[in-house]
Parts: sequence; C-alpha cells; structure tokens
Amino acid sequence: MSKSSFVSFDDPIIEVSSLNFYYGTSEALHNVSIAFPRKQVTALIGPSGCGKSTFLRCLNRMNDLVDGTRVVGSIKLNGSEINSSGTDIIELRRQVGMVFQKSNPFPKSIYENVIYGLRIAGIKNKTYLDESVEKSLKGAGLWDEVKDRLHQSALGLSGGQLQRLCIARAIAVNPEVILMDEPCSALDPKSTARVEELIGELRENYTIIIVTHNMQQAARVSDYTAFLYEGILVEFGKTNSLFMKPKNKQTEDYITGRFG
Amino acid sequence: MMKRAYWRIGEPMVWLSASALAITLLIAMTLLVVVVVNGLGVFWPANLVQSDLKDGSVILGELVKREARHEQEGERLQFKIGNREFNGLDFRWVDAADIARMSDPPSVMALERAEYGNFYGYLKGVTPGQLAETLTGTLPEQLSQLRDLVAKQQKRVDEEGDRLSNVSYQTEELRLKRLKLTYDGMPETDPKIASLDDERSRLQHEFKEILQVQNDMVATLRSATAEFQTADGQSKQIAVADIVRTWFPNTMSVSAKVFFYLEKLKELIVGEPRESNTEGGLFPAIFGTVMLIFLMSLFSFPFGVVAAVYLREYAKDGFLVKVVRIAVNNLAGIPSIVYGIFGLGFFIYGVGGAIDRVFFPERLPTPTFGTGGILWASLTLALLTVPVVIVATEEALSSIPREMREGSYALGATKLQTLVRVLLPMASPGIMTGLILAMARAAGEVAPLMITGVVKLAPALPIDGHFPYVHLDRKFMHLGFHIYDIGFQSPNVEAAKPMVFVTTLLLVLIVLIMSSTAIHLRNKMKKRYTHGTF
Repeated sequence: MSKSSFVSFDDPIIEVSSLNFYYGTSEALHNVSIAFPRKQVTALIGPSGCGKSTFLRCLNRMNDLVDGTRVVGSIKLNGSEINSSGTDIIELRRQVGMVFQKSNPFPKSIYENVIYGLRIAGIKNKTYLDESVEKSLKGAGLWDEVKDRLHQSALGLSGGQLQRLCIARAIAVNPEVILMDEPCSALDPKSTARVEELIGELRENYTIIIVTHNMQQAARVSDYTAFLYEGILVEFGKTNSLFMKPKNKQTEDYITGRFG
Repeated sequence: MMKRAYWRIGEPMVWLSASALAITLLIAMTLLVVVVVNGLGVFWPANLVQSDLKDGSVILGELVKREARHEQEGERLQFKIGNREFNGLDFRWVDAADIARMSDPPSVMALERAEYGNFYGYLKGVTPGQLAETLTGTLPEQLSQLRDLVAKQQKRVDEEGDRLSNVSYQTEELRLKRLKLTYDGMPETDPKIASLDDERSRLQHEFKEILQVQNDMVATLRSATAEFQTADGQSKQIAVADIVRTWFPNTMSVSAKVFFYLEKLKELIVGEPRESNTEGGLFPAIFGTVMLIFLMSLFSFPFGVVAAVYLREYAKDGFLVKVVRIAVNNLAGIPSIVYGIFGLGFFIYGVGGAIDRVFFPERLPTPTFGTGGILWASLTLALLTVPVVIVATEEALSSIPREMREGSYALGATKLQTLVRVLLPMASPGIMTGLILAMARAAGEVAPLMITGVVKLAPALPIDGHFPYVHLDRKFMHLGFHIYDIGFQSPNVEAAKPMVFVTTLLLVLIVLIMSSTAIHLRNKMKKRYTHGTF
C-alpha cells in the first residue's frame, strides 16, 4: 500500500509495509510501515503496551511461538519476504539474532553457550568453534573476564556478564541484524553503560534494532528512533532531529515526559 | 485486642500445621523403630537358660519374652526351646511360679541345622565315619575339625551337583530342539533326530554316572555324625553335614558374638533360603526385587518421559489433551490388583500367549512366555508407575521459563534441538523426582506381582551363566511377597516372625539406598542445570 511516510533509505536491510498484528481479535499493531537502515542502530520507543516488543518479535517471527496470533502485511529482509509460509524460519533466525530483556543463558558452560547456534547448525570443526568463541566473546567485550573459565558453568556469571554472554551467543552465528528487547532493563547502571558502549562497537558490523523504555538510552545509542503509540508508528527519523524537533505533538509529549 | 491479634497473625495455623507434620513423622518413625529394633536384634546370639521346673522336668532354651499373666498374679515366660523333633513346637510358655531354679550352663551348645530348626543340648561324642581315621583334642575341637572335613567334602558334592545341573540343562535343550524338529515336520527316522537321540542318551548316561559318584560322596559325607544329649536326657545323632553352625552362647565373648552376628548378616544377604524360607538367606529375593525395580524403571522412564513430552510440547491444547491428562491422573488411583489382573490378561495371556504361539509352538501346551515372569511383572509395574513419571515430567517441562525456549529458537534451533539440548536437561531434576516416586511405589507393590510371576521359591535367578544369560521369562522371588509368605503362609509362623522383621527391614533399606542414590543424582543435576540466584 503506502510507502513509509517517514525517512526512507536507498538500500534498507529490512522493509516493513502495512504490518498489522493481532492477538486473537485485538489488534496490537496497525498499519506499520518502516524501513531500517543498514549498519545503524535504530531505537524503538514508546509507552508500555504500545507494541514495540511485539513489532520487534515480528522481525524474526518469534511471535509464531505464541498461540492465537496473526500477522498481516509484508516484511522484507534484503528484499525477500519473511512473512510467507515458505520462509525458512531457521535461516531467518540465523540472520536476525535476538537478545532478550532477561538474560537467558543455557545451563551449559560459557563455551557451549557461545557456540550453541553453531552446534545446532551442525558445525563440528574444533578450531573453527574455538576461534568463533574467542571472536564472539571479544566482540561482546567479555573475553578478558571469562577466558580462564570458558568451560565452567555460565550460570556463575553476574547479571551484566550474562547479558553480554547472550550478545556473544547472538553474534557467534554471524547474523546481519541483532534485535534487542530492552537488554538493559534488568542491569545496574555500570553494566548498562558497558552494554551501551558495546552497542556502539557492534554497529560497525551489524544492524541493531533496540527496544528501550529509557529515552536517554535511545538518545545515547541510536542513530534513528521510531516512536510507537498504541500500535501505530507515530514518528520515525534521525534520533537527533526526533528528540530535538519532534514533528508530532504526541512524540513531543512523550519525550518531554508529559505522558507515558 | 490481644486475642484478635493472636488469631490474625496466624499463630494457631502454625501450630496446626506443625502438629500435623509432627504426627506424620511420629507414625513413620514408630513404624521404622519397630522394624529396626525387631529386625536388628534377630541375629544376636542370646544366652541359653536352663530352667528346672517344680514338676521335675527341665527346659533349655532362649528366654524370648516375659509378660504379666492375665488372670492371676505373677509372670509367664516364653522360651525358644528348639529341638523340634522332640518337642514339636519351637516355643513354650512357662509360669514363673513353676520354675524352681534357672541357670546358664556354660557347656551347652546351640546348633543351627539345615532342617528342623535349632538344636540346644550337650555334645557327647563325635564319629568321623569314613571321613577321617581319628580326631584329636576335646570334643568341641574334634567337632570343628570334622566340620572342616565335611565342608570340603560338601564342596566336592556341590561341584558334582553343578555338573549334574549342567547336564540336565543340556538334556532339556536337546529335548526342546528335538521337539522343534519333529514339530516342523521332520520324520522320526531322520538322521538328525537320531543323532540328537544319541547325544541325549549319552548325556543321560553321563548323568547317571555323575549321580552315582555324587551318591557315594554323599554317603561318605553323611557317615560323619555327632551325638548330642538334650537337657532332659534324650540323646540324638545328628549328621555333621546337617549342621550349619555351632556356638556356645553362654561362654561367647562379646567380640565373638559380634562376629557371629556379622556372619548371620552375610548369610542373610548372600545366602539361599532354607526351611520354607523361614531361615537362611534372602539373596534370590533381594536380587529379584532390585532387578524388578530396574526393569520397571527401564520401561516406565523412557515411556513416561516421551509421553509427557508429546503432551506438553507437541499436542495442541484441546479437549482430547484434557481428557488424556485426566485419564493419566486417574490411572494413579486404580487399585494395584487391577493392574495385576490387566497384566495377567493382556501381557501374559495376550502378548505372552501370542509369543508362544509364534515362536515356541512346539513347546505348547507348556508355556514359555505365556506364564508369569519377571518381564511381565515389571511391565505391569511400569504401567502402574508411568502416570507418576508423566505428571512429574510435564510439571518439570512447564516450569521452564519461556525465555529459555525463545533463546534457543532465536539462535535458529528447531523444536527437537531445543527439546534435547535445553528443555530436557533443565527438566531432568524434576523427571528424576518422578522416577524416585515411581521406584518407591514399585518397590512397595506386592498385589499385582502375585499374579504376574512372583513365587515363593524360584529355582533359578533371572540372570545366570546359561545363554542368553538374561531370562526374562523366569519367575522370581520378591521381598514384599516374602514378607506376606513367611508371615502368613508359613507352616511355623511363630518361628518365622523374626524373619518377617528382617525382610521388612531389608526392603526398607533397599528402597532407601535406591532412592538416596537417585536423590544424589538429582541434586547433581539440579546444581548443573538450574540457575543460582543473582
């Protein structure tokens, strides 16, 4: 139907058009059209229940796991449709990784956690796996802290370390996009700063889409920001201009703290 | 005001729940203490008391019990007097008032015999028979030398016995082979059958020869006797081969008594039962019980886990799943004897009968699998315990947080990979809990076993040295059935009573050992697979 009425890009990595999403009969997303720029950080902000997490989970079809959901509209990753029944969901999820609100390490060693995605893809080459662990943990800024105890249980790490381990696990499969669903909401300020710094570094190689409640965080880490309200994409633009000169009254009210 | 606060804070509720727990514990502890006290004391060698009664007769025996008389003043005493061939009974009640004098004569000897129970009396002579020319030393020393010789001879007899059972096993195999050939339509005149017959008559000849040799050996063995005199002056010749052990209870040191106790304990655990199970060891029953529980776990564990995985992970929540869940929960409430009858009808007559018709038709009407056996008993028990495993596994799977599944899916895992690599390991402590409950339940069941293959005395263990080594069609012994059998079906219930306590204690111990091993395993899994708090 309509092209996004907001900023557009020449070569967007993900292009969403007229996306509607339903939980049973209630509509959670209404006619969302948006395109995400490559190797940039895009923040999704909005009040609780506005549908930003739901939207994020549409991008790797995580909502498939929830009973009674229905999605209408098109989402294209690198130009190919992911919302059709013929999509290889396994392959999709390998290209679009995800980091969750609550860190969810598997009850395995740190090493096994990082290579989980590779193992299930059937990779057995020991040197490759070793290299991949080192690269991913370095990428997540965790290598120096855990390099001496790679084969100990991951459950002994601190909250901030666990979240970075989950990031390492996500980048180990070498995705193009990393979705982050409020990755810092359960972390203390110091760990939050560490993760934010990490997002800045990851941007070199990955496209990041982050859902956050914290507007300062959105302003700090993102290049672009989208504001959702009651399932509708209200405004999308460069972070600087959205925060400095919001075009929409609702956006302005929200970012100045008048509601939400 | 004070009063209302008291109720509001909930003090009475604390007391109520605490006392409920205390009562439960008390009942369980009482039961255990009764079993332990009665069971542990059985093998301790008691002193032998000689009582001269006022009417001139003499009683020699262990003082078992004292109790007040009902109608009159005074006490009455119960003695275990043994010497069944003279007294007919093992126990005798005597009024304390009738006893003129009681003493502990030092030279009195107690014998445990292979038959007729204990003998109490005085050693009067030793006859070596054909086993030795002369013996040296005092009479007890002579007896102990003779017993060593007898033990050696007995070993030779047993070796011949092993050869005999080997030959008869081979003969039976030949008979079955021949049966199969003729059943398959081979004429009686076929050279193959003739060669089988030759082989068989050779074996039969060998059997007779071995038997002859063994008989001679036994004759030599039984020529060694000892002469005893009872307290009231009757004398008795006892073949030394019939004596299981001898002891002088009134002059034994404490360390000797401890040694004796341990010997008896060892016999209990590794020995074969004697005297319609009231004496001797319980090894076949222990073996049967443990093997039954293992086989049961082997069947119910994978079956239950797989069923629960389907119910929880794959089946669409709907009417049918609800019905299945209700049915599974209700299965746990069906009386176990019903499972037994089902096992008899379905497994033994149905499946076993079909196996016999297809694979062993030549042996019919003698059933091979179409009769009770450890396989059918353990399958029946598995059916009985599978609901416990299913419920526990479902609970464990459903308590895993959703993020764990999503974390795995988000990395491109399939449902199966998520299940095998993340969910089942995380659910394993809960699954183990289910298995522990199932094992405890199975160990305590007797009723369904009684019609699916447990026997009072099994001639052979389900595992032995004959190919194929594991014989799941065999009948077996079981500690729980043993308790019922010796406690209520034995010809001499009074004498069997100590054995009932010992057997109960042993069964409780086995359950304890098996479940604590499982709990230990579960705790290890818990440590490995669950999150600490952070």
